[in-house]
Amino acid sequence: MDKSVIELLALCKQGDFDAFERLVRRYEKMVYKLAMRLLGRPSEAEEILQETFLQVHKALPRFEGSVGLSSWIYTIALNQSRMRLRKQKGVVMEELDETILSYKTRAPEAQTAVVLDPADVLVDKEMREQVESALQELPEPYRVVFVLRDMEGHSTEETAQLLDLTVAAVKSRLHRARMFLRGRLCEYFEKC
Amino acid sequence: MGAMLRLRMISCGDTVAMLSGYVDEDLDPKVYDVIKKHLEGCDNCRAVFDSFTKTITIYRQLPEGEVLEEVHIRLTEYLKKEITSEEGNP
Ligand SMILES: [Zn+2]
Repeated sequence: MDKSVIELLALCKQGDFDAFERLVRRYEKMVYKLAMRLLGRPSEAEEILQETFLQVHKALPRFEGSVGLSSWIYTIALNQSRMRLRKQKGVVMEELDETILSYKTRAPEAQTAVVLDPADVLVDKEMREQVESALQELPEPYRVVFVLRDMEGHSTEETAQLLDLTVAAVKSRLHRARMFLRGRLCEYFEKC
Repeated sequence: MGAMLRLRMISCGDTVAMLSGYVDEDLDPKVYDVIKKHLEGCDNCRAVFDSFTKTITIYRQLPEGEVLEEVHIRLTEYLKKEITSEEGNP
């Protein structure tokens, strides 16, 4: 850990709230970004921020620095988000399979979409909403793997470790998640 | 699947099933080549492959959430309140 973080931690452990606020400032974006990706709603991401940093504050006296402060906070935020995610309703597994398999049945004449580039999808508000809501439809076990692997940029091994899964399970869930999302965005592609 | 690979043939279903391994370059090089060949010769699988990689790109490029200053202020106020009340009632 770098020296400034060690000093900050020491001050926080002595009960210095200003130091704790500096620590919050340093890691809040990381937590918020993850929570937004997993939960999709600013109000929920804000609650995750509160729950995470309150838990960080409580557990700080026991934090020994063996994993690095940032990974430790990240794991707390991930667990808080997952607990909340499990209470949400995603699509049922049958529908997940149906969307994944739809590539086999889609007739060429059904393809009415205009030619699109990923860049266009991001500037068009309606498409952006579609992209974001498709992610929120993924059931928790798939969404969390997709977010960590493809959006947060963790490796397959890191994702497996964070979620206590085997590498094979991560790969299989990632593929199904990607296929599901592709199916949901099909109308925006020239061919699908 | 060994015989199939020697024949450089693979079904569309197996190709699609291995697309993640293919885009992540996480396949045995021989299998990778077989899929590459299949994609070159199969319009349907290439369409799936294109939309598959575009989907991944779209999600990778989504803008990151920013913590607005008002959110930071609410967070700090919340923490201060919770922490002080806890210290009052240990
Ligand atoms: Zn094919």
